Amino acid sequence: MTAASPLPNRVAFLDERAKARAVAAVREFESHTSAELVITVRKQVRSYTESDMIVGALFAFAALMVLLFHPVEFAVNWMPIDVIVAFVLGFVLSRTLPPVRKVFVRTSKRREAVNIAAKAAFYDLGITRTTGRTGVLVFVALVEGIVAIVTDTGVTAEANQAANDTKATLEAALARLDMRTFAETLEKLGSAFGATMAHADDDVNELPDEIV
Amino acid sequence: MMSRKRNFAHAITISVVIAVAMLLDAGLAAASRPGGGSSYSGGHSGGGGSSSGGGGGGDGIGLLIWLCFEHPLIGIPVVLVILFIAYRARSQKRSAGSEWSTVGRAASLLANPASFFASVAAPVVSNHPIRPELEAIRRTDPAFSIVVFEDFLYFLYAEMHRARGASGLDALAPYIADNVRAVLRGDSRITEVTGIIIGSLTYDNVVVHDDGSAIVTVTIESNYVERYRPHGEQRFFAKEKITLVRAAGARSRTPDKARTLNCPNCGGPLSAMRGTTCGYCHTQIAATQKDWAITSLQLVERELRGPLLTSNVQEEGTNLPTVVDPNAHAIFSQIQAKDPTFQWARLEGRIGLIFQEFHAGWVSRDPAKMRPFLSDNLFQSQLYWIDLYRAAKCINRTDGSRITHVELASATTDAFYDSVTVRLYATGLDFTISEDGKLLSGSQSRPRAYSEYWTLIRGAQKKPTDKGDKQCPNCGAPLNINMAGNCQYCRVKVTSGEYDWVLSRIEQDEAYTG
Repeated sequence: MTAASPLPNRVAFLDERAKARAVAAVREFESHTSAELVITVRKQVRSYTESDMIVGALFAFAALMVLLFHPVEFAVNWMPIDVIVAFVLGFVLSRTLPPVRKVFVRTSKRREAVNIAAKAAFYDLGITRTTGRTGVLVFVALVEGIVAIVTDTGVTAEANQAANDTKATLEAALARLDMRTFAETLEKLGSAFGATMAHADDDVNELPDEIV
Repeated sequence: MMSRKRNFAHAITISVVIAVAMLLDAGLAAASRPGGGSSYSGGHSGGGGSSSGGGGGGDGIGLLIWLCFEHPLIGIPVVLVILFIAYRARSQKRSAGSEWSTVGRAASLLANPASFFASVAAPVVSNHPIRPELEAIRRTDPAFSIVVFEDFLYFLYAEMHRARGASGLDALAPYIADNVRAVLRGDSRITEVTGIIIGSLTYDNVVVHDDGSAIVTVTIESNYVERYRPHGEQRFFAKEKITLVRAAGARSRTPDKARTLNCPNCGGPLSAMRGTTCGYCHTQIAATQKDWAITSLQLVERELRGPLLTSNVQEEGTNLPTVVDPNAHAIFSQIQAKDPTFQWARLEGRIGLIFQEFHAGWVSRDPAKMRPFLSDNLFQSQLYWIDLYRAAKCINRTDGSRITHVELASATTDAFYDSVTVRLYATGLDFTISEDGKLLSGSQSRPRAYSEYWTLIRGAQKKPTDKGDKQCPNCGAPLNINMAGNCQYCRVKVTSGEYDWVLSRIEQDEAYTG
């Protein structure tokens, strides 16, 4: 797939077509600048068990209220079981429905978790190992709906700022599952990087562009 | 707009959650209605016996079936909710696809396993830094200073090699043992040894006894030129392991005497030495008795390698972990306690200025620009390399160099000097061109990241100054320092750290051991 191939308006980021489009975007980005781009897509950076616990607790509390205040008579011996089962049902519901989880985890907490995971991935993927320390990681967390960008120490301040300015656009594209806009934004970012980190003929592609 | 939409979506979700919770709980509660025995009713006061039993219960599927028939308004929605949850769980699993990256960990590992494992960036606490062990000498000799000792060692080493060509080894008897002088006399063709530059000094071992006697073994890497009779000269890159010994009772030099070699007893010139007896004080001076002396010299390697002016030398140690002295932060705090104006941010600022002026002088091959900020030893080394580039008619350019990160590696303080060693990370272009602009080595477009260990020193009794960075700290005149390190206007020496931090050593990552 090339940069010009059309994509559906909505395509899951884990779809093969999305991956191919991402590789094309990386190549286009790197044709304008000496920086090396890596895109990583993760389903979720951590399990938000605290959110599941909150929903389970809400269910359990609701069960207790019904048992205590509903005019119908209930078997006392079954009440603890009822409450526990309600908790489990709420827990499972939250685990199964990401929108439910997102309600009970603040955006700032999700963003913090994604940033930490992005920095860990930056190291794990060996993105620091470029000659000029010009690695750039675009880290996509699908369930959180957040994009983090991590740049190495050799990336100029201007390029850094350009990367930060595109985050909102990338997240909006992610929310709409719009890989086309996502990729085009990264390609334009390559040109912005090129203003202060120009591509040279002797630049070596130090980080492979293929999907792993 | 986006926020209102999100809030509305959240409200809907919470409402659905609560509604489903109530529904399921009502269903469970209905299933728990007693067929007899104890019960509880929220609508009656008290109630609730304690006997066991009660109706409802049974296995889950049977319960659901019972609910659908007995209480369809509750049972059917409960079943639908459970089916929905099961369907979502299965569909998420099926359609998920796998996570991906455009570069993988395995691919990186296979590509370059050695540097992959070396890419750990976390600092490593040096578990056996040797240089700080010299501090034990201060137990019996409080005036001992590592900075003054190293200054002396640099000078002694250079004088030792210089004396090989000038047949002046015997005059150095108080400082070089007989056996070593015998080895150094080896080549009688040598008429002169010149251009002696010390590239690095690393400590291999330090032993300090309770009585204050000490044995220090160091490895010195250097370049020098030997000139021969009748003609000819050769440059060498040498690596030598040297052992210095000082007897108990010997006392340390003061900074002003670090670069002098006189009779250690009376201070008379060494030219008056007659064998091991001073012609002034008529005292027999055995090596090590009054001062440090070289008792062993081992040539580890010596290569006919010219200076690497136009080769692409790969950075070897940038990914190595930082070697940190465990006492570094404590001693840094001690220096701060002596001088409350000393802060990390100010030191970083000073390092940034030195870095900037150093590169400005280097790129323009104008050593005067860097002179105010380098110690004498380091300046001599840089002057030599600048002259070498000039002689080879090429220019090493480090355009766009900038510091990216600085971290503390070591700190020492003694009677005369405070010293701080930092690991400095930087990036910038590094290429060599001929004077007519032809590229000889390196890349003119791809910056190179690197790191070095910088040691800065400052007088322990720092003289106060309110002058700016580009002014003489003594007289305030525009900073104009001669090659000896003195202000051209007031003649005061400003490059020994009396007023502010000066750069004393630069060591490469792979050579620095702490």
